[in-house]
Amino acid sequence: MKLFLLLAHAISSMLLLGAITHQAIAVWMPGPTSGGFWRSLRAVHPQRYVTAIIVLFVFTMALGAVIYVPFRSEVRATYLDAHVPWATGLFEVKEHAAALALALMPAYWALWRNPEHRGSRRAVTTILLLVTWWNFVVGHVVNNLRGL
Amino acid sequence: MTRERLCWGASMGAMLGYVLAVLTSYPIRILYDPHSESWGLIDIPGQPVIAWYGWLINAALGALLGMLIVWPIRRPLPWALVWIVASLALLALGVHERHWFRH
Repeated sequence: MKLFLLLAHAISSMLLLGAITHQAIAVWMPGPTSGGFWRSLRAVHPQRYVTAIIVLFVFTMALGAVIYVPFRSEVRATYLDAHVPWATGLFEVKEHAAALALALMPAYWALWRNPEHRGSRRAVTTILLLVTWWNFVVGHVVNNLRGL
Repeated sequence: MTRERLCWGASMGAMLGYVLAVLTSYPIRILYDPHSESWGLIDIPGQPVIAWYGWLINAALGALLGMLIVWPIRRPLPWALVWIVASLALLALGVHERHWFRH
């Protein structure tokens, strides 16, 4: 069961990573509607990703919260804290970043509904992009050091 | 407009509630003990307890409070404050965990 949840968490985070990266590219470098791969990537409608990103974020975090219990008691307490404390530190920052990103979700949703606040929308999307990448990389690093 | 206002309040309140809980254990420190599968308010010596769930509960309380505070205000909301507070909160929490990297 733990393995299934961990895999679902990883797949969900990968989908989230793709969606938020795609949206951020379209926000920072909007492009024409036709052309090659790069131009097509920039030409997507970023507002169409909002619901998917919110659902994927909440789902990924919920799965992470469930598998956090065995991680905390079996992996972190027995190995990481004693042998690789820097990995615990990275994971602690990952937890905080995920919690703050979850807190940002209502503002993110509201900013994408209102075209007036373009700068804040771009900034919040960028923070979510950075948090998602950070959490994805740290999750993999820690799992490679000592997985569930 | 009202929904956007509530969203602003929820995000700001949740972020401030979370940071306050992590840095000061205020307003309430709730712990989960995975061994006995129970909730409590006091650390159990020698046993790993989970504080993160309690911090998230504080964030949820902060979100509710934020919505209640913002509800009657009719002035335009400073949306830039949301990402500025988020950035500062990330920075503060990162600095808070620096002791893990000193070994």
